[in-house]
Amino acid sequence: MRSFLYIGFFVFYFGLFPVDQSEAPLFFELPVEFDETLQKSSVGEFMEDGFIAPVSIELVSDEGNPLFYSSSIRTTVCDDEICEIMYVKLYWDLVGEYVGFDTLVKHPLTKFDHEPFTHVDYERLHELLKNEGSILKFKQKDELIDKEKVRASDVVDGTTGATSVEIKKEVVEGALYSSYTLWHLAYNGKVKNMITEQTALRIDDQLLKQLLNSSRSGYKLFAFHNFEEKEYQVYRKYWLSALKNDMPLTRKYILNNLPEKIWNTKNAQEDVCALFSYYDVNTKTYLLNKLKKTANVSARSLEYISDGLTDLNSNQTKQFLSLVRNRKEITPNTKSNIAQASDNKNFKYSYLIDEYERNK
Amino acid sequence: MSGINRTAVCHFFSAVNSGGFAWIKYILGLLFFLFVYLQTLSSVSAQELVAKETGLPDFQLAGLDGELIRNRDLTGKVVIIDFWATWCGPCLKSFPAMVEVQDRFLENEDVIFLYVNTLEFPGREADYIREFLIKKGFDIPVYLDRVTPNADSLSEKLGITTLPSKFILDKSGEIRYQDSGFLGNHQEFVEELTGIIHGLLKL
Repeated sequence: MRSFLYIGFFVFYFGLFPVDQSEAPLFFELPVEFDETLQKSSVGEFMEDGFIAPVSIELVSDEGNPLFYSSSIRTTVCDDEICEIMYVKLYWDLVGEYVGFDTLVKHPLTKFDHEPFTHVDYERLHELLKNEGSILKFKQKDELIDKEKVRASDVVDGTTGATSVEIKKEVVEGALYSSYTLWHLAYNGKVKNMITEQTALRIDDQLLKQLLNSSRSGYKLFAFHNFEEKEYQVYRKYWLSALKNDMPLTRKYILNNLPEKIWNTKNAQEDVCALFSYYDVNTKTYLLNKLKKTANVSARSLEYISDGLTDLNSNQTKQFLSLVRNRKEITPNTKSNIAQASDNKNFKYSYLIDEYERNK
Repeated sequence: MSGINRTAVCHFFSAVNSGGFAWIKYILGLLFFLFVYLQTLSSVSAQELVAKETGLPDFQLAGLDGELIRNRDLTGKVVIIDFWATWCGPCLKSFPAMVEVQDRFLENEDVIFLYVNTLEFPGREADYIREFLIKKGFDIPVYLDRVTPNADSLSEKLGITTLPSKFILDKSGEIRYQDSGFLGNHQEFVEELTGIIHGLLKL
């Protein structure tokens, strides 16, 4: 009787007052807990060709900390025979990178045969949308299908014989136009601009730290884009860490924008050169060029570079030797590294050192 | 109401088990049977709804000059409704075939064609649509799906998310034909629709 009572109570309670469904989207890449405490605010809207309603962008924050952006979108997807209204919710991070999507209540995504997407289809769509370099980026809508083949094979779903293999491999089968439309929404330039403008407007110390401490490369680069001289002083460990660990684009941005006042100090130069062995080939070249234009290069900085001398390419070796030539003093370790590189039979450019020694 | 406070529920059941609130058992039992009864009622309602769904829900459409048309104006007529939008290529592609069918029944007052503009781009109002159709060379009776900006539209009530969507109603208002898209076979389409309309006129 007691268990019957309990079951009755629960059935009755949840029948009348269903527990709110989790708001977590189908796919979402950021470590965010979705609950009712998140605040949403509209940050702007725009109209685009092919849209039947303006695209409104919403910022989602937690206790004032911006977390991500989202937009519930209603757009048209047409092929030669039918047009569909597609309802979808897209999510972007704070710098406008796609991070996930969701369907809207009562509007599952469907294929052109009106079959709803399966879970595998949704997963494939998410993989496509994560791929910023998708082949769809370079395609116009009318290039998706070979019209001659459509007529020959009477294909209507748009992803069989008439679609090139390279496109077919990336899109959801039977949903070519939906895939195309959604990819171009996820990487819409207007959305990205609006989001980066809005995030930049909200930059303060707290958000800057949030961005710098993030594991997302785009966040760090965005933070550096919003650095002024003062921030390079305050957040020294962050930009040094980014030089060591981050992507080449970020490293180049930092080296290019490091204020002269900081770069011309011995400490900063040496800290940057101490990381030389971590740099990719382009960053190494960029740093050597920067040092060439620098009036006072410290002996210790050159020593750090000499530690990786045998990893340099021909031009870099020449640049390094030129820097050494222009200095009155070099450290004993630098001398030793140069000598060892000269004797190293595996170092392809040891002859450049020999030439340097002869012309010294 | 969002969620349930589990601690409160545990306390509640402890109190019930300890016999402190014996009367609550009876109330809960009563509520449970009430719940089961309501569930039974709602499933009956659902069956009735299915029966009703074979006809169109109550609606109002507005002509480009503002004249209104309602369900009751269509009683006793075979009605062909074509949902379309100016941005929908396949809709426009189907118009010549639709017009050919319409011309076949021009003299028959028991056959009405309604070209219902729906899901339109913002800003494309009556004047735009009128101009658009003149440019495209279509002389068709167009109605707007939304009489006022906040009114429910017929396409929403019918859950239409694909265009073109075509419906044919018999004289009693029952939906007898429903199709979406246009495959492009003009003559086949004309003959199919003509046959259906003739069949419904005989009923």
